[in-house]
Amino acid sequence: MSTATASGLAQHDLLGTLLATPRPPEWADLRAAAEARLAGQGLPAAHSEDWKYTDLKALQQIAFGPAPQAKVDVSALLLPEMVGTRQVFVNGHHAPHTSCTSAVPAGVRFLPLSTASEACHALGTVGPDSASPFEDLNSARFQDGAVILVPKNLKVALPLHLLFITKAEGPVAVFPRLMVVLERGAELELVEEHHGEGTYLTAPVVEVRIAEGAILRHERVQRDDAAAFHLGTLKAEVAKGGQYHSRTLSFGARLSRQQPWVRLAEGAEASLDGLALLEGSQVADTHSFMFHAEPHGTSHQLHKCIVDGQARAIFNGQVLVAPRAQGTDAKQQSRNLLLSESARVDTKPQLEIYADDVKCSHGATVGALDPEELFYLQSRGLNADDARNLLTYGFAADVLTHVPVASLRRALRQLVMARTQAVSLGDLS
Amino acid sequence: MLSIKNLTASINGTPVLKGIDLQINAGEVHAIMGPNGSGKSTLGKVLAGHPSYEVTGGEVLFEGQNLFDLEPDARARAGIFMGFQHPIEVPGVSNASFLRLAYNKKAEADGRDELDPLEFDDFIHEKIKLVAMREEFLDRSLNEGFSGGEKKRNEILQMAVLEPKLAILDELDSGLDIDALRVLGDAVNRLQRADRALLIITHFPRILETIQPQFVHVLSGGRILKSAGKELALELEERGYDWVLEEAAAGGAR
Amino acid sequence: MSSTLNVVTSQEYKYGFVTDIEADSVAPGLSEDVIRFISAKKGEPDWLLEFRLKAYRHWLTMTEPEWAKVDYPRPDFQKIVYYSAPRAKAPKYASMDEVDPELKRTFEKLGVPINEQAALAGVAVDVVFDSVSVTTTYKEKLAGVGIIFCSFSEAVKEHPELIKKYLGSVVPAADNFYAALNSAVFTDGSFVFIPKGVACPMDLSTYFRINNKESGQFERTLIVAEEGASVSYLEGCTAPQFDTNQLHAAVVELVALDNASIKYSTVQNWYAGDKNGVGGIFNFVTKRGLCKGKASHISWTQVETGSAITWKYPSCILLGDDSVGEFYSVALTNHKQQADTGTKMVHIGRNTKSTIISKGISAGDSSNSYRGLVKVQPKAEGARNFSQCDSMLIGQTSSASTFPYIEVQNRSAKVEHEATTSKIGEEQLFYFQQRGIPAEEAISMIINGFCKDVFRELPMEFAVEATKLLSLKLEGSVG
Repeated sequence: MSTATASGLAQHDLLGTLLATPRPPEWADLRAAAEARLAGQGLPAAHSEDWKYTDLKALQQIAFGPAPQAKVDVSALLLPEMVGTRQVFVNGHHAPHTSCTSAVPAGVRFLPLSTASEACHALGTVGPDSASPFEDLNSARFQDGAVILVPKNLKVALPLHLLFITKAEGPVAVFPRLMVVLERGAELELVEEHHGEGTYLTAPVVEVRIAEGAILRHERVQRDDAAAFHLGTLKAEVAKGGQYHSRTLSFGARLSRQQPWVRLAEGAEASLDGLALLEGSQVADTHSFMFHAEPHGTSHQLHKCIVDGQARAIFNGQVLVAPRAQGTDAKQQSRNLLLSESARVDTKPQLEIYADDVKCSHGATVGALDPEELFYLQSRGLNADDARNLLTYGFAADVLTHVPVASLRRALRQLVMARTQAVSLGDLS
Repeated sequence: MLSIKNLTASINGTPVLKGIDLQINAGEVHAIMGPNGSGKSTLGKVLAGHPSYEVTGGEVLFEGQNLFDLEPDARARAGIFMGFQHPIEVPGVSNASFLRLAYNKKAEADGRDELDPLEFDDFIHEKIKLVAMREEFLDRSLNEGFSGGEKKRNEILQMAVLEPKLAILDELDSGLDIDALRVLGDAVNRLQRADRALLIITHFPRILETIQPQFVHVLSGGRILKSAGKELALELEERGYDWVLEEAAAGGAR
Repeated sequence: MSSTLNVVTSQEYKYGFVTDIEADSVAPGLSEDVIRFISAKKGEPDWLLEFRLKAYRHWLTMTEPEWAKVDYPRPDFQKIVYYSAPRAKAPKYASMDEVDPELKRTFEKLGVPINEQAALAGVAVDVVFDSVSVTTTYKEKLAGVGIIFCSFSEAVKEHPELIKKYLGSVVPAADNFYAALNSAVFTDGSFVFIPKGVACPMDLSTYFRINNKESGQFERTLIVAEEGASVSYLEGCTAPQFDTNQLHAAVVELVALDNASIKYSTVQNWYAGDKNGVGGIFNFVTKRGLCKGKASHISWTQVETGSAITWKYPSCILLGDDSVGEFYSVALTNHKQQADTGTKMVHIGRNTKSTIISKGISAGDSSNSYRGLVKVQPKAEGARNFSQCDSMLIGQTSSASTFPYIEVQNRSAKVEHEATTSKIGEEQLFYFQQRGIPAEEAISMIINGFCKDVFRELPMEFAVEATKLLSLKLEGSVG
């Protein structure tokens, strides 16, 4: 990165280059609308309020090309609960030979977009037209993606596993796409993982539609390459009495941004939890929008960041309570731990409330480990480093407690232990 | 003192009280009992003037005056006290200053002298003994962070301070342990006088062992199904409510 | 349902009268000539005229800020009168007897003591009428201990070295659109200088009044507390009721040197417009304090109840090590009022501390936003901030928003922010009524409980005043 500024690398026309690639024939309307918006707006300006803390300069210094089909070995990524319920996408293309859907229950559709006719009318219909230019870029150029449809009242026992893997020889851009539809009373657990190798830009778009009384638990793991850019969009609409619970765990990418947007209908429930573990010069940004559109919705958000090295964490969490959304109960917490001299956190929780009979609160904390807690552990015989690592691990592991898939929970805990130098402390789970 | 004639009331258009008749005289203790959702708490709230309920018919006279002509606070100053099942919390307003304000409003209405903070301090310290409340609760914000039992204690303290003519105690026993129930029951008994009436609203007969009513009414479906002496409470304790409902159904179809 | 919580009308604005005073005014409009006119009228030195012109030239290149959550017709800056002064024989009244009796009556009506005999014991008052200081009380007594308390114009003449040294040192002329405008056209204001080691023996107070219909108010306040000095300063504001909007764009600069302490309290009750949002003051104010010295202390307390639009962020730059910044605010909006107010706490020195307590109350169709920045710079070792921002809604058509920006670049910092939103519920009101307390008093009691943490920061008289004011403002909010 230091060479980039020193040598003054030229800015590339990121949009122009990517849009110059051929437009896939399907979803023509969706793509045309996205391209029109991109032509009108382009990439966000450096000083725009929405991108104030997140610099896209580094991204614009790289010429990304289209991603070719590639083969990868996924054996290390398989999770025992989900060996027969997984779909794998490599470089944005479906990888049929590494996917396996033999254990997917009858009635559940879990398919590549390219083979699912149901998706045609549904894609691009959730939420506002566009939350970010990267969403438009995805709509304009995505190759393939997954569709999940769970029929009425079906409670799917096995979790479904989605692997989006990028393997880049040179700099490439990939656009994973996912559409999840739960019909009335359906229930599902979904694990969505992003992995990769090399320098690349991934701009996934996830759309979630939850019908009355349906429940989706959505685990999202971002383990992209340290040289990658991950600019993701998630939009979810939750109908009356439905529930959407997501947890986004960000470990990789030099620059990542998650933009979850959730709309709650009457009596709906949502949680948006997050953990970002950052080191080196990583930047992780979360811009969330919780929209209480109708009465008696409940939302809960806990976002945690651990920031080491020269890394930087950004959180902007908006909660909007519409005039008719009486009886809303919304809570939001942004908790940040700074581990190094040069780490940096910018957090902005926001409440915008237009209804009077509501219970809304938010809180934000930024700081180092609590000296009282460190002292307590030391007084029990831990040395200073161990005490620090244990507390850091605990701060992060808190978010993992309720990950429902046991093997995934274990894997994530190990990852967190490794990243917080807590491995030597033995089994902490 | 209180005369209720064919009272009907509804909430959000749904009828809850469907014709209540009840006569309460000074010195009497009445108990309204009934299963959950019977309308018994509604009766208390309607008498106190809760804005969520709409009176759709009937008449209530309190000492000869039409109760529905009065705002809730005017009813309180006229001498109606309601002990709430779930007293609300008000951050930042100290319990003592709230009690003093309420006391002085009543004193002003009664043409008595108001108490300044020092006088009130002496006055309230006598009163808290009655309900065995710790002094620190006076300085804390009104009901904020109080346990269920502490809130109920505070309700009875307010009753002692305001000296009402008619006290309506809604589910005083909910959230209380046996000891606290006995303390508050005794306090209420000591507060009872010949010129005061009590209306105890309760689901469980237990509290009526301490505060003994002369009259027990069973309310269900928005109507009083049965009225009798205190022996009815004992019978309800043994047999539950179903038999009253069945009896009413059998003899019913009025 | 909401029979008790029904927003009807509020108390008539009691300071809405106009005083018929002969005034010296310049024709509406802004140009370099107008600025030269103002400067000449005030007999200013060249450097100050240069300061103004430089600010004006920069202002021409700037645009009005758009980021606040307020919506209003942009003022036409060429229709505003930039100079309007009560006409008098001498530029400044030598004694009370010379003050126009009509003017005296105005301030009596406002309850502002400008007569020393009748004055509140222990409060010295500077009175600013349409941006021109008309009188200052207790000057001699203060001068005895070396304190300077006078109008800004007088300070320019008598103490030019101090003005030159500190003017624009906290809020640079080009800081923002309205600060630049003020720097170009300010007409008067107050100046306070507390010398080394002196604790000001009484509260100082400035009373601001806008009277002229077309005039804007552009006053300038500068307070300097030298090493170990301390002062408590109070500010009150009212304006007559007009069906047009008047612009108020003030700049307040505070400088605290080593171990100095400045406490600045405001009760802002500019005319808020009627219940349909016609008329009212646009209150676009830049207030900033510089904790320049070690262990210096600046505390802002504000009770904002007036103005059609409020855009105001009293801030602290915590430069000195161990310095302390505080912001206590109550902002009440009713009817069509819009307020976007908060603070900035910029931690630069080591072990700097800041506290933010903000209470927003929205009634009627109003919009009330808290916007605040807590910034911890890389060298601010051991910085601490605690923020508590609570909102209360009365009525179903008002809105409350909270926009805290937290930027931390030092790991030893500890920053905590909490915010809640609640409402005055029917259950709460009913409970009070059931104990015999009328609804209006109940609301006032609940609101005062809600605002207690801020009110206790106010000097006694102001706290009483503020409590009354809030009750008045909400009168009729329940029917």
